[in-house]
Amino acid sequence: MTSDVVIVGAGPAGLSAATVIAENDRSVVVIDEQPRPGGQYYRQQSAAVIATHGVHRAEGAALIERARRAGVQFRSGVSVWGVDDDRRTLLVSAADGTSIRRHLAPRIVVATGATERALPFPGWQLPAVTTVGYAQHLCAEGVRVGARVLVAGSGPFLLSVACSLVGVGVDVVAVLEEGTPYRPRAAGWKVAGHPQRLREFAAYRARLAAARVPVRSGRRVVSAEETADGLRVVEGPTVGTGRARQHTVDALNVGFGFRPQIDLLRLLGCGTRIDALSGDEVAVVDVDGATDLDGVWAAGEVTGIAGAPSALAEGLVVGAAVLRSLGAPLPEGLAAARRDVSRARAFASTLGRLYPAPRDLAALAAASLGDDALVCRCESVSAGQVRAAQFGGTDLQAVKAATRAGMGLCQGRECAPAVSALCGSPTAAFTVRPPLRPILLAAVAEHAAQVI
Amino acid sequence: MNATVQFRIDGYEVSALEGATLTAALLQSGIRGLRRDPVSNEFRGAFCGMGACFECELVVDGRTVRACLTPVRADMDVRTGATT
Repeated sequence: MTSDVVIVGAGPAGLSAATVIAENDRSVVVIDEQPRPGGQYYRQQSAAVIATHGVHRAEGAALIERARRAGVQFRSGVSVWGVDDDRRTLLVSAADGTSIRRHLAPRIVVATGATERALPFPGWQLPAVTTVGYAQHLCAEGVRVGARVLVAGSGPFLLSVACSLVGVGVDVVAVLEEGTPYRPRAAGWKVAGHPQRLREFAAYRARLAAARVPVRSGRRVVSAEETADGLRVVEGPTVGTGRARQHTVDALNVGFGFRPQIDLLRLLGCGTRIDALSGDEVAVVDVDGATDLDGVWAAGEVTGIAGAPSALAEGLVVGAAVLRSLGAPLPEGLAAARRDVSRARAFASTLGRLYPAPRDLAALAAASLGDDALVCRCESVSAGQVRAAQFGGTDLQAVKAATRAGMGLCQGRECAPAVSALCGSPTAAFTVRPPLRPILLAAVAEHAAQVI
Repeated sequence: MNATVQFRIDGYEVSALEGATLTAALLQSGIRGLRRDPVSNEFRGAFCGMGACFECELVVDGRTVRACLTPVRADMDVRTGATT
């Protein structure tokens, strides 16, 4: 199967790029691992769930509908796990690792978005501990992650999720923010230049205040353990000595912001760089979102975390560049989209300066871990094992080889920030190798038989 | 059309909205532990909820899947506690 363009990722950036390309009469296939288009921000529920609990983010549903009307072909439930040597053929499978296929893509837009940054603490692997993003997905389906919940970590997303939890009737015992972003300071005044975002923030704070949910800054989770009464969580101060508190809750939801999901870009061989503010690896792109590999563009969070408004605008900019490469005229709204991108990026940068730098959060998490605390969830590797494997050096790949940390099913997506911090190389990344997602050997054999 | 469907979790009949996320349906049945870690044998459960961490793997109709990417279907047979 061929099309003019293949887009990987059906979130805001991918949807936006796909729509503008299809509306200008070029063929687009959008591959996405989730069961329905929308990505995480515009995640859509089934018809039965919508009939009972309503539509989650109606503007996302409208954008998906518009894309479909324009002729965008969605391939949902499909994982991209590899790239062939031509760097033009994507190797895909069903999300369960079966049905392996090759997908020739003369032009590729990588819009693979972001994953939540996870940082370990003793007990983070317990089933009652989840990311804040997952807790919010459950709210959108009308399901409570627990009756009593503690929210902790860092970043503005914690407030948004706490409000969603309150909205479905969860008793949120507190929101713990590791930094002190809400104290007046010079950088804070720049937020005043973004009145709409400021109103959003004020609304979150007002809603939490009305629900009597305390937001405590400079506090973090020390540990979590299962007891007969529920999950016992100990919180303490981020720095210095302060009073510890205990909570018994049904669930603990943690989040430390987002990391660009750039594994496919790295597998394609596209250039990346370390973002100065976040310390995260991001795609190197020009003003049109073109990577250094001919015919490959990147849009949205993979170019640096800036949120859905930026991703939507970047999708339009990249869509326009792809159309130009196909000899199509420039679409409407390009100049406005470029302005939206720079405005959203300026806001993200201002906001980023208010919260602790991710590398500092990771360094604190790593330094606080006892030797027996789990770091790599997939391979059950402890902090002590990672420390013992450093042989006086800090080579991340050597530590991976010696301990298996980062070698499991998640390919290091969850433990990378902590393992690299433990190794004293906060910006080092695990090597990326196919398969990016597990595939069944039987499916590989079946595919090989078809090709031969 | 009835939007609620029946399916089985570890042999027990349960019901959920058709197309609901399987992890959400499991949570509503009070089940958080979904797979067993092969090293410690401890239960793990849905963590990221978006297909990245693989902690919610379980067996549906004989095949290992990520529960957070799996919509509920009528008559599906769900088995938790696999060592994956």
